[in-house]
Amino acid sequence: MTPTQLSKTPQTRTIRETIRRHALGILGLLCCLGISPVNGADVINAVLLSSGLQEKLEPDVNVSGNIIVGVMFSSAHLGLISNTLAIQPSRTKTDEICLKTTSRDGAYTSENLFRGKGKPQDILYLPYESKYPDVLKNYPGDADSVAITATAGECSQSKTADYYLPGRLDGRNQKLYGQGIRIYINGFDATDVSYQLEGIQNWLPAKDCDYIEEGRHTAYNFTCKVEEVAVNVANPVTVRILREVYGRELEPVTFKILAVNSR
Amino acid sequence: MQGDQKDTADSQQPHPETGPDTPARTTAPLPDSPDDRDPVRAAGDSRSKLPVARIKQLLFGLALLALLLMGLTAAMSLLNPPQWIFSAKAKTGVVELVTPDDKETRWRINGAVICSRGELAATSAAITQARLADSICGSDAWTGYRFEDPEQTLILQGAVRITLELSRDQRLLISLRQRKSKTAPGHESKPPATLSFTDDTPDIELGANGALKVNLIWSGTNLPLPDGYTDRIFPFSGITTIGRDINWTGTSLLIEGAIQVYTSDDSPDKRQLVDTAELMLGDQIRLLDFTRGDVRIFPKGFVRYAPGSSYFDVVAFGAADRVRIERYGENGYDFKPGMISQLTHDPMLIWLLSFLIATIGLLSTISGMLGQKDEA
Repeated sequence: MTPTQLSKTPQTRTIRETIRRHALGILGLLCCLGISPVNGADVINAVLLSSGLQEKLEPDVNVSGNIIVGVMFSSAHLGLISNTLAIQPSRTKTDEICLKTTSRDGAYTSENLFRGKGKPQDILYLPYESKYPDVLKNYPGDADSVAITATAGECSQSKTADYYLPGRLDGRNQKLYGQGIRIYINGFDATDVSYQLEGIQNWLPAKDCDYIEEGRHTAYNFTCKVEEVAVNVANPVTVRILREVYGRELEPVTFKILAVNSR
Repeated sequence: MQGDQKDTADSQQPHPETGPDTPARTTAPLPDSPDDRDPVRAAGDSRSKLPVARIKQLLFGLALLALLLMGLTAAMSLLNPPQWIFSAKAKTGVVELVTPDDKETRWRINGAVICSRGELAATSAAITQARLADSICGSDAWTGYRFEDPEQTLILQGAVRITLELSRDQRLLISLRQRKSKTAPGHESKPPATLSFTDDTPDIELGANGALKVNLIWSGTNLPLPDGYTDRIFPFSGITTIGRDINWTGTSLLIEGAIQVYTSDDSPDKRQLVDTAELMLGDQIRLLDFTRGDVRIFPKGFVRYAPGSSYFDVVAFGAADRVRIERYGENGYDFKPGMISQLTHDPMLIWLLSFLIATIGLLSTISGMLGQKDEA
């Protein structure tokens, strides 16, 4: 049987029909498996819009006021240490990216504005030559000790709703390593924090975020581990953070993750 | 010649002290050097000096050995920080505990509204009747129950994260959350909490409908308890955090307290106070578990709540080499006895020091005695 004959068999037609019907689901499944559906990604260098990296290392820490303190791939901490931090660009109105980092103990913070634009399948490298590499290395990567956000637009915006997913760039293979999304939450006095992803039809069931037991919680105290983005989730992914204080619900916080199709 | 005769006559006269029967002493001049002395007497002197010199050498050697051992012990002591017993007492608005996997905790919780995330399995009429219709539990996601049994007991038999807190209106709040297994996530054992009653109500497994999520709320606890109890005592064993990080919404803080460090002798009556640290408003301290051999030892203590009070009294103690004190405006610090305290409370070092002092004392005494003998 030749390939032409094969393509005309009834079974093949049925498969094609099935693929057409469930294209969105398959795309989501690929996302779920962490497989990028695009090839030929280019690595583009973003430009830091200040003379040097703006970092603060202060033993006399300030209390953070944000509820969302980190939205990142779990590999981003390593990217920060090894100066291989990158995001996948998205179709947004602005080509400015505000990168913020906060250590859980609140001692190390940074806020920097980058400019860079690329196609959604490209990878935008964010140069991060820290003045405190040893300090950053001392924050253990597996202890949820540093939170990073990369948001669209200027840093001075009071409310930000669009988050990129920073991760570690593998320069050799031109890939952005994912391995799970981490959302770091300052729950303040909340006894319970959970997250919900918006499905194509409606919100998916809420999943618990974990209270971080060890160490200091000056900047954040809960981590939401989104290990997989389900098939029936819209992309960009809309996330809702729910908080409760002994059963009493606090105002939910909703934001978007612009691109999740990376690994 | 006259001189020679006189000398001879003098030598023949009896000696005034020794008497006539005793031979007269020679009047020969004393020798200038030991070699010139009488050989018999010189031999006697050397016999008496030899053991003393040997004793001196021996004591000197022992002192050197003690000094060497002291140095080694001090180095070992500094390289291997000893375990101390940390005792904390505090007035605080919030306490967090993580109970051990293999120990049981029992608390009397009469008068509490039991708020369960999801309904409790209605295995008896008593459970159905205890269900509340009001919204004391906060939202529709929670279901409240109040049981009339005055001796209902909460039994915790696994790793549970517990928060005890006093609300602004002085309500006593306790949250119980099942701790996720770090070794085998997703394979948590059966729900680690049970409610037990003395009346006909059957035992209830809390969290049987999923991971344990239960809040205990005492409403109106600013009033004396109606059941005759005055204070509530919650004894515990587990990782203990007293106080909370400062933030702009929280009001539950550590108010005041102190940490005392004792030497970690097995017998409490031999323990000595080594150091004390005062705790300030807003501090947070954490007492962790430690492993001795194959056994994990957890801090112990109790929380006392008096109706009408705006804080808990907490007493906790545990063994560790340091306690972390988080203080607002600072980067936190590890409270532990200093190097000098560490050395001065090392029993081996103290014994060696005593031995060294005794040896030096003995050496100086013997030297003094020999000096007096020589002068005589």
